[in-house]
Amino acid sequence: MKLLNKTVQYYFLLSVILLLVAIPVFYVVLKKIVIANVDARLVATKTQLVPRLQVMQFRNGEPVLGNDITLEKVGPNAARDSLYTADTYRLLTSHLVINRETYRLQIKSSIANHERLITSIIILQVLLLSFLLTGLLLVNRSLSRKVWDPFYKTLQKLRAYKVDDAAPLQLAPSSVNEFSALNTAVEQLAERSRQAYVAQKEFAENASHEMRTPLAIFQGKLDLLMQTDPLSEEQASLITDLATASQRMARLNKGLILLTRIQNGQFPETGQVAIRPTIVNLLEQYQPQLQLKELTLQQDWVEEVTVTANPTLMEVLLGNLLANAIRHNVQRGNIIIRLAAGVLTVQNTGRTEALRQDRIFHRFSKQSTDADSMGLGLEIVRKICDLYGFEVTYRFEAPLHTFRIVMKH
Amino acid sequence: MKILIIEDESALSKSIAAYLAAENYTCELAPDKKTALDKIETFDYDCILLDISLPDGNGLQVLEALKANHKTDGVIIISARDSIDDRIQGLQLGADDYLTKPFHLSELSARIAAVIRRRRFAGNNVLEAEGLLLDPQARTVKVRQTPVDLTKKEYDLLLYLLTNRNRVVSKQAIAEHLSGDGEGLFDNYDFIYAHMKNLKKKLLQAGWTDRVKAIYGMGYKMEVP
Repeated sequence: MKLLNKTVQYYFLLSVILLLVAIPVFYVVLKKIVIANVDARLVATKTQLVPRLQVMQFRNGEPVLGNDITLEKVGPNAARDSLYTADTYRLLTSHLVINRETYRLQIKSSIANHERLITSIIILQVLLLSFLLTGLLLVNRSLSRKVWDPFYKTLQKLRAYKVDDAAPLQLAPSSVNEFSALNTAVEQLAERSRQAYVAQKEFAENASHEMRTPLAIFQGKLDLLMQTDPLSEEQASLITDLATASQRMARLNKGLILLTRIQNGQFPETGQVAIRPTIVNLLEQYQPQLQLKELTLQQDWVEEVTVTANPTLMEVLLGNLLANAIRHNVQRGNIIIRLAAGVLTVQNTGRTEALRQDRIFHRFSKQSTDADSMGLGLEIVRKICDLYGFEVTYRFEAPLHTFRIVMKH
Repeated sequence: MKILIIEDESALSKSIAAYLAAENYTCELAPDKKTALDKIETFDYDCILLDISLPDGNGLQVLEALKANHKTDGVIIISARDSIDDRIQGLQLGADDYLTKPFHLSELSARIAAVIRRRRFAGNNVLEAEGLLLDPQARTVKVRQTPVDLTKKEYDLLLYLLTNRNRVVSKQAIAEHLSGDGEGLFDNYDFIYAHMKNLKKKLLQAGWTDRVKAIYGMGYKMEVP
């Protein structure tokens, strides 16, 4: 829930409660006032009437004094004046003694009109309060929105911020102290992470490059060691293992440098790369490996896709995907390549369980016992996809492992 | 043939010199830019191996000096940096080839041989081994008078073994040489056996005595006097 809505919610709750309590209270109070008013008038009428009645001579029966006033002769009664509501009337009953005879005087006043008035007033009141409440809510909302605007702008920029952006994070200045303090803190944080990232990147790059000279020395000495004579089979076998390890180090190094270079954006030159001929060309290169594993290759070229990208990187991307499909395949397995509607799908048979989705595209998360897989291939694939906005996904539907790259939507 | 190795890592330059010595190359070492500039001014070399990062400057300045003096020495850059920019810069300054560290000495040897062929013999020197004739310019192979029809890979393999004759060439080096950029994706060297088997069969059919020996699954060696 938005902070904005949260505060407004409390205001709203309070206002509704107030409204619900206020209206009955208001009604009751208003009615009391009206009745008191009516009563006062009834008493005034009586006070005015009594002296006149005292001097009046009754000839035949009770006199007619008006619509609202009745006077009737009753037995001796010493009851006091009373005021009560009957039906829609307010009734004042009083006992008078005129010419030694007791009369009951009743004066009534309609309160129906007053009821209507009260209802009208209440309705008006409710309407007014409701309008006021809605108005307040709206004003509060728009005001909050305006006040929180810098916060949302900061949030938006933070969302779009990537630590590998070349430019430091720049936030819009705010006149609100809290927000400007927040912005400063966030900017500093972003700058620190950026510097840490750059330092780490430079370290990876330098380390990879510095490693190459000792690797070259190692490989050179190994090559010389192979030339020594006599050489026993045991020695040869040791040297072969060393040579294989050295080869792996060299490859790892190459992969790491490639990754760093992709991250550094060092492949700026782009061209139109057609996917199909690139893949056909690569398959031609991998022919020996395909034949060794006796793989059945099924190619399904529905629609050619051409992307704007760096040709070298595209070759690396497709090469890694195809090599994976070959390397992790089983003897006499299948590879299905399909290109349609901007989507490239590479499917292969292999292990009978799915690879771990969450780790598959991460560095060194190799999930095979195959020694020549170095765990960088798929990360390189993902990095290149990220670079060009392709979407790469992995799915396992027995017996096929499927890699799907959406190149064009 | 005289080779100048401009490289500050003596362990590496000594290895290179030791490997190349078997091919009757005379190697001189220059551990820094100053020595290198002195040497190229005084002597002519068939091939110069040049490391770009030297303790007292950039190796590319040596290239510039060569160009300024109108020297025709072949140059192969051996560098730890392998970005396209580095390559282009080196090649634009007149280097013949660019080899990234780490490399196999057999690969370096093959590249040196190619540079020297181009520079010194304008490409027409035919490699000979016990009646086997390989013409690098025409890309043809003959055993005495019988032409041998080889695939591209078989031809490359033969040329590689010929330029590294009498030395053990590891299967890793052969795999890297044959598969070029695709190397690194596979660790399976079985495909070399297939190529090797076909190559040997074709050469035997043409009447060549097989001189290529497998050394304990480590690599191959072409033994020719």
